[in-house]
Amino acid sequence: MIRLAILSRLLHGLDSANRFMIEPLLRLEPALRDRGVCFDAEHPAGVLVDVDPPPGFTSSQPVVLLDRTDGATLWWYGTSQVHLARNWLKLPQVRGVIKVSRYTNTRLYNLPWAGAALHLHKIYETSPAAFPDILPTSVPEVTEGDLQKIVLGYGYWAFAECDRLAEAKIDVDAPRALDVFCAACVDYESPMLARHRQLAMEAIQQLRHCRTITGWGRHLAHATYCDLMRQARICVSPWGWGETCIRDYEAMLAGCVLVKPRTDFIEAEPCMDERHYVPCAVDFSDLREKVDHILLHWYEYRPMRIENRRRLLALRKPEALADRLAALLKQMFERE
Amino acid sequence: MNPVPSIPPDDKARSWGSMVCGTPYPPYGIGSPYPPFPPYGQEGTPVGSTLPAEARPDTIQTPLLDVEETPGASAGRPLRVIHVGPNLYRAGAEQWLIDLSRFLDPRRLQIVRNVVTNVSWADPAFIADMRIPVEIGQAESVHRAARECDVLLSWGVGLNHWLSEERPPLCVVVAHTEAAWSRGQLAECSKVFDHVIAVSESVKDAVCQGYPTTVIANGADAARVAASRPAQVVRQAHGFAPDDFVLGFVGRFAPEKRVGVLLEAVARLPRRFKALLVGWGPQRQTLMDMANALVPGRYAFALAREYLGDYYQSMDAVCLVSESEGFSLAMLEAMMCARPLILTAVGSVPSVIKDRVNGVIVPGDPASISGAAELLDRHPRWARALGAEAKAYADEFGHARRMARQYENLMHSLWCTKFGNGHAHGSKT
Repeated sequence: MIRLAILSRLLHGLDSANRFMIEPLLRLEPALRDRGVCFDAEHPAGVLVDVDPPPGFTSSQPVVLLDRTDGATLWWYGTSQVHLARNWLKLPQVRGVIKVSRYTNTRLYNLPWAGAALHLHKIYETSPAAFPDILPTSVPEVTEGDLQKIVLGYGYWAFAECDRLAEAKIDVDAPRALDVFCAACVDYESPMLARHRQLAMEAIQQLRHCRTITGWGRHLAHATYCDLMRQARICVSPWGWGETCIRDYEAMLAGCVLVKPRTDFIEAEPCMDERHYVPCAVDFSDLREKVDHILLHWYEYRPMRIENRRRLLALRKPEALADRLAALLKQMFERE
Repeated sequence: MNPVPSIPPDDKARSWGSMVCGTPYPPYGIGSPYPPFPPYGQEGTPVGSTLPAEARPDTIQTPLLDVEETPGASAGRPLRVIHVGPNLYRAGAEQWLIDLSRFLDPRRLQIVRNVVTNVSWADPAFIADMRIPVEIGQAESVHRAARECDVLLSWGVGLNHWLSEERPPLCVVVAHTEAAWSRGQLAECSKVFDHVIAVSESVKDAVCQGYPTTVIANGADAARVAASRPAQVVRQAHGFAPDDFVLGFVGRFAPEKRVGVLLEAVARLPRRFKALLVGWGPQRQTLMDMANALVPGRYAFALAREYLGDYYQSMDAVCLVSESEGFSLAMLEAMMCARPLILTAVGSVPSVIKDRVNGVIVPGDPASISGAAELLDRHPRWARALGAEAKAYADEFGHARRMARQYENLMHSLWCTKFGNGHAHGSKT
């Protein structure tokens, strides 16, 4: 039995609204115990850390970081924490980082812009004149050894927030009232992300031949949001702080065709490539073309929709998730 | 707010205050030069910012509106309208928006977006019919709408708070009902709107006093009342026999519609009088319980999205006894289907229905409704004549196409009055 303590912002009551990363573990506690992993704050053999470690925090015991942040890049709470995240990754007692996704190779972590995030750079490239100059960030380099420490744990599909759509009965052949749906915040601190998301919304609104709904901000109750998604054929999902987000998985669970900017520079679990979503341009300039193709070939997207939902449901099963996490934790904590 | 200025009687027909476009028998076609289509997009004609509330054009001098033509429609850019409303489910005002957008001439007026501010429930069938891009949002979305539109068309949303700093070039608010809350809603927009459209004279009288107002009567889309099956087949499907007298209702099951009174009326009548209630709403379950208690085995409920004519034609009379109303689309639809109507004198009813000529006006209590139903049952030829009269009216004045032309004309006239021939913000050309 591996006994682990959790140093968690959530458990310390500091950030109870943010359930990222720790929530699936807590939901699986009995199943993990059955598989030889338990949580024991008194006599831990290792520590799971899901907060930015407090200054001066040291641990004589092995540590696994639960990186709560979105996407493949390494940062905690924004670019100001990139140094911290990378330096922690290099500490010998840090056995690994469990993340939702990672870049496919070290080069992508070490590009001049990767200190912020590669997808932000891609947004910047679409119209550099629109954004203020942002200097490349100098950050500690990620080595091959560091990359090996980054492990794909689970995506947003594992969170309770997806329960409603996962448990819903979805008839992929039922008529759908909406053609295109997207609900997203556009008031990001990053001007690039704000612009990127606004472009997505505007591109949808330009689809005058389609039945579209765009939800700007968080004005939709979750139940209504899920209902609308179930009524939609296509869900457009722009990037946020991360390249993937919960919306991607909700769309797949709801039986929508997911359209998002081409995101082939990350690895995620489960993998996301053109078998699972329809890539569009970063500035959504080809959205009409993509949407028209999907609507005109709706039946041909049926296998994709069925398979997307099926594999997420399979991954979400508590036994499957517990098997995977227990194996990951054992591998990391038993590693010398 | 400016008081409505007094207008000499002879000039009333030429002012917005006189409701030239909403009278039940409007003087359409009187050789009326229509205001020339404004040459939007002309360069060098800066117009400046929006007018303060005190300077609203409540005395626009305009010729009579001609609803038959859309002259000059190709001469310039259409006005871009963004609608702001509260709901994403089907009720009268939402159906009005669908019908309006469907029949607007896109060369003159385009509803480019529907901003919905309060989505507590979304009706998939309604969404499917709404062929306007829908945006769900609040302050930010309304601000953007104000920036990006030529005309902000709104109802049911308090705009004062959201648009205190940023007003749209032209804002028109629609008063859809004579109920007291409608007055409150107008007050909550009073700092923003330039003009009010009342859907009937009674709405104007009840809630628009003191505001520059034009009456544009609602219109209905005749395609919605198409029938797909013979009436007898529909009646049979709902368990009604050929000699039953079916008293029907089509609409939202809400308290102000007083559908329960219809059931009470049927309960007072012989067993062959039955009720067919078509619609949806918060009172559905209550009404089903009530029907089961009052008229067991003598009622049917139905949900209908299309081919409403199937349902109207299976009714021997349509009963609309709301406590308040604006301009009932169900009334127009029933008239289009030549159904005899039993109505209370609310909303547009007094100006559209001539008692016992094209409908029967009742006080609205169960006894009066059952009395009217018995009368129609005893005099079937008269009932058919009522329906024929009603249909004649609806065919002439009730179509949404007429309504759309009037909205186009009003918007353009308001625009010309406010901005002349120029453009409020040239970037939209």
